[in-house]
Amino acid sequence: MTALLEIDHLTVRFGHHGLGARLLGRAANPVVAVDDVSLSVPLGSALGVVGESGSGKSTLMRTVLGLHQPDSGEVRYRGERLGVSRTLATRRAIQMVFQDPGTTLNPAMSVEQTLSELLRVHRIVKPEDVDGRVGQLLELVHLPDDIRHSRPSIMSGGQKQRVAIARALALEPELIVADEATSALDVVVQSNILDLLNELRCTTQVTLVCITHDLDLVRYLCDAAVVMRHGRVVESGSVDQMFDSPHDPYTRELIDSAPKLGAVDGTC
Amino acid sequence: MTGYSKPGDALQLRDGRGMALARARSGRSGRLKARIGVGIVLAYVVVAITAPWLAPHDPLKQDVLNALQGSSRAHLLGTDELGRDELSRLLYGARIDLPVAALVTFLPCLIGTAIGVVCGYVGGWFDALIGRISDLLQAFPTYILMIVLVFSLGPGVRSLLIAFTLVGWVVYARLVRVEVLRIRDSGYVTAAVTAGFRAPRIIFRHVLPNTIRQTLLYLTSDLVFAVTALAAFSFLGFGIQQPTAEWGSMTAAAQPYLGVKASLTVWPGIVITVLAFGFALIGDGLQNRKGGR
Amino acid sequence: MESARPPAVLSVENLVLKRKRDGKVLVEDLSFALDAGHTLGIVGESGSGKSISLRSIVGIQPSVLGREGNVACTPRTAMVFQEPATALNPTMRVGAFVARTWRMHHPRTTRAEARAAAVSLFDQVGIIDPERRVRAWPHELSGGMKQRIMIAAALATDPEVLLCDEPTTALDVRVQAQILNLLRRLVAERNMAMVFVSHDLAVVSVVCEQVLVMRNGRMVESGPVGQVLNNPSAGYTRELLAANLTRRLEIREPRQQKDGVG
Repeated sequence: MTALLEIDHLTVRFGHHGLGARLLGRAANPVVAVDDVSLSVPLGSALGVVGESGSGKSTLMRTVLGLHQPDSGEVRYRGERLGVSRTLATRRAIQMVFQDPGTTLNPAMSVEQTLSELLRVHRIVKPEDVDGRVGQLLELVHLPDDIRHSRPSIMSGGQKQRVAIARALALEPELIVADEATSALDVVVQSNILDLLNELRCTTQVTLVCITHDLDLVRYLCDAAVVMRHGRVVESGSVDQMFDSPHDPYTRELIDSAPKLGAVDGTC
Repeated sequence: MTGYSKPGDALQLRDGRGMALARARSGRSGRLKARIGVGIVLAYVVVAITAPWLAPHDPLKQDVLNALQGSSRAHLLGTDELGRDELSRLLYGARIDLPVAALVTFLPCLIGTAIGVVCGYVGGWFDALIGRISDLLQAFPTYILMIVLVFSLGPGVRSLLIAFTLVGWVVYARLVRVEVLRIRDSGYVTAAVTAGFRAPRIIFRHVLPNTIRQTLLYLTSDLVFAVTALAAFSFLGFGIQQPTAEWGSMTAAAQPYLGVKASLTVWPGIVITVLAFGFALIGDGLQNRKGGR
Repeated sequence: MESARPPAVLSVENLVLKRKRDGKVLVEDLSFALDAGHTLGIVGESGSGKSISLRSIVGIQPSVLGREGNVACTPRTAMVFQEPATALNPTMRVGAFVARTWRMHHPRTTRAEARAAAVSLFDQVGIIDPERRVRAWPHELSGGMKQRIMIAAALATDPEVLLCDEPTTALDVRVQAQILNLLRRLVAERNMAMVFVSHDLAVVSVVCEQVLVMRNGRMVESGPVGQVLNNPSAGYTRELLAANLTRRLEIREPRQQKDGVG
C-alpha cells in the first residue's frame, strides 16, 4: 500500500532556549513533546492516534500540518519532505478539524464568508461558481443551505463542527486530521459526526487521522491505530489486533480503564 | 458541556441553539443607554458643525463695555469677561473640543493597536522590547508625564496630540496584544494558517475584527478621559490658548470672576460633563451587550 | 434482610426551576429519593438540566433561576465539582484547605487536630505520602490529585450525601477509573448516599445502582441501571444507547478487510 504520509523519527521539543533567547522572551523549561516518532499512513486508510493528555498526539499532528518546527526527523507527504514553510498546493492537501466548536469558526464571519474565502483565495472554482460550491459543501455535511448566512453565535456545537468539516473539505484535501473533533459534543451528535466522517471517506476518498483519547472511537472509525505516551509510540498496529491482544501493558491499562457500559452488579 | 471545559467556564445555561439564557444584565437596558449616549454625542457633533449658523454672535467679538452682563435677549447666557457672547463661545467650543478629543483618542488607539497586533501575533524580541518600554512609560503618573511633555513642547494642539499619543498608546497595545494572544491559538486562526493564508489577510480578516470589541469598549472610556483632560490642560494654561473659544480655557479665564458671574465657570463645566457622560453611556451600553455570553 | 428501612436522606419532589426574568421553565417536575448507602446517576446531554438540578438541591443553582418544589436534604451534604483546576484556591496549600474545612465542621478543635485530620483524609482518598502532600500548592498537582483533594475536602464535612457534578469529565481515562473506584469504595465504607451527574452513560453505569435519564429539563426514565440499559422504556434512552459507540461495536458485523473504502 502506498504511504500517503510518513513520519520519520520525528522529535519536537518546546522551550530549550539559552539565556539570550530567554531574555528576549522565549520560554524556559524544555519539554519533549514528541520523542522519536515514526509511523506511516496508507492512502485511503483511517488511523487513530490515541493517548492521554500530554502524550504528544496533538503536537505530532500539528507538526505534520506545519504549525511546529521539528527538532529532528522528517515528515514526508507522497515522498516529499514537508517543512514549516510550504506551497499553497501542499497546504491544500492536509487539513484539520479542531476540538472546540466554540472557537473553531470566526465569530465575525458567516458560514458563507468562511467557506467562500477559502474557495476564492485558492481559486478552487471560478468566481461565478463559488456560491454553488458552497452549497455543495453544505450538502456534503448535511447542513441546510440557509445556514450559509448564519454566524457561529447562533449555531449549535454539532452544526459548527459540520461547518468546520465543510471548511476542511473546501480545499479538497487528501488527508484530514480530526483533533478530538467530537470530544466536546453530546453523545448523539458525536455519533452523527462520526458517521459523517465515515461517509466522507467513501464519497471523497479522503484519508483520515483521528486524534483521540476515546478507544471506542478508534475501534469504531479506524483501521489502524498508534498509542502514544509521553511523546513516544508505545504500540501500533491494526485496530482489531490491538484490541484483541494488546502488546504493551499501557495499552492494556487504557483498554481496561475505559468504563464499560454495564450494570454495577455485573448483569448485562 | 460534555467532555470539554475551559477553566473559568462558570455554569453556562444554554438552550438548544447555544444561546446564553442567562446574562448578567438585561440587554435591553444596555441598548437604551447606548442610544441615549449616541444621541448626546450626535447632538454635540451637530452643534459643532452648525455653530456658525446657530451662534447668535461672533465668539471672538469683544465688547468690553458690556462685559459680565447677565442673560438678556441679545445674550441668552450673558457675556464673559471681555464682553463676548457666552452662548456663542460655548457653541463654537464644540468645534475645538470635539475634534481634538477625537483626534487625541484615535491616534494612540491606531498606533497602539498596530503595535499590539505585532506584539501578539509575531512576538519575539519586538514583543519583549515593547513590553519593557510600556513598563517604563506606565511607571510614570500619566498626568505628570503629559504635563511635562506639553510644557516642553509649547502650547497648541500639536503638542497635546504628541503628549496624548506618546502616553496613550500603551494601554491599547496591551489590550490588543492580550486579545491577539487569545485569538491566535483558536481554531479559526489556525485553520487560516493551515489554509495557507498570508499574515496580512489573517490579521485584518480574522484577528483584528475579533479584537475590536474590547478596543471599542476602552475607546469610549478613553474619550471621556480625553474630553476632561483636554479641558484640564487648557484650564492649566497648556494646550489651546485664548482667545480661541474652548471650554477648558473658558473656565480658567472666568475664574477670577467667580464672585461676580459664577455661571461663566459653570456652563463650560456642564457642557464638558454632559459630553463625557454621553461617551460613558455608550461604553456602558456596549458593555451590557457584550457582557455575559 | 429484616432490618427497618432507613429514612431517605435525600428527597426531591416535583422540583421546578424557572428563570425569574420571564418564567421560562428549565427543569420541570423532577422527583427522586435516595437512601443512605445508595447511588443514583443522573444522565443527560447539555441543556438537559442535570447540573442545575443537582446544584439546586443545595440551593446553589444560578441566581437567575428560582426553585420550586419540595427538596428535603440532610444538611450533611457535600459536593464535588467538575473542574479540579479551578476549584482549589491557588494561594492556599492543599492541606491547609482541607484542614480548615474539617475544622469548620468540627467545632472546638485545635489546629493540630485539624492538620492530623487532613493527613488522615488524604490517606483515605488514596494519596500516597500524605504527610508530604498536605504541604503542596495546587499548581504542583495533577488533575487527578486535585480531584482526590476535592473529595477529601468533601469528606471532611462527614457527609451523609455526596453530590458529584461530572467529577471525572475533565480527567484522563486511567485517572477517571481510579476516581470512580475511589468513590465506589467511599460510598460503601461510609454508607453515604451519592448522586452522580454525568453525560456519560458508561461512567454512570459503573458507579451507580440507579439511573435517571433527563432531557430538556424533564425526567424521561429512571430505574435500576441494568434494567434501563438493557430494557429501556423511553425512546430517548434508546436513542442514547444507540449512539453509544460500545453498543454499536457490539451490534456491528465482524470487521471486513478494509481496502481503502469506508
